[in-house]
Amino acid sequence: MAKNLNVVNLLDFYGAMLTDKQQEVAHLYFDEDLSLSEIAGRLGITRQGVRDHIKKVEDAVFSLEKRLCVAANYAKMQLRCRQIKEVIDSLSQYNQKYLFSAELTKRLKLISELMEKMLEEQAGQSGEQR
Amino acid sequence: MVKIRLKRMGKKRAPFYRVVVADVRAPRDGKFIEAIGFYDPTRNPAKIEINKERVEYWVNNGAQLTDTVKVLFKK
Repeated sequence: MAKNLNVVNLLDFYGAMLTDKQQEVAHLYFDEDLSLSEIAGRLGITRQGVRDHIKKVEDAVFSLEKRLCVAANYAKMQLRCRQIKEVIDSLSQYNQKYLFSAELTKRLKLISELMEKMLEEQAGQSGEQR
Repeated sequence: MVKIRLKRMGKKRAPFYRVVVADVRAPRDGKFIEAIGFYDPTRNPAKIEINKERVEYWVNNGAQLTDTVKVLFKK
């Protein structure tokens, strides 16, 4: 069973919907890159038990994503924000070259800040260090 | 025994991995011996940087790579 690191991204969105045990196993497996037998030894369960947990976790997050598309929508929003940021940057350059408006600089900066804030809010506890 | 494995750093929803050399018995509290590279899956294509000399050094000293690191190392 090859480790599918796409699951990691989905776990950030749907991890809270898993059981505590599933979260613990998923953390050791995907974040700490431990092997099935290492996790088994640490948690005092069988290797097969760990594998079952992982399989259930993968099925759960893929099924949730298929129905809710939270991760896909977040990725789309990030892309749009990057595109908006490019437009802001080009406007800012244009301003510095031809218009020299302090007011415009201020407002462009405000748009950038609001967008950053929106992304952070969407990410939930995005500032949280793992 | 010592293993070369990934360790997740970074923020929620922005995964970033360090490639670390760690004692098999100790990684629970995040303790590792040496960081020898990184893997950033958020970039497209994903950015991987691993110090080959250090990998060779550690492998010669009996370290094992996890399957995930093996796959990354081949890339």
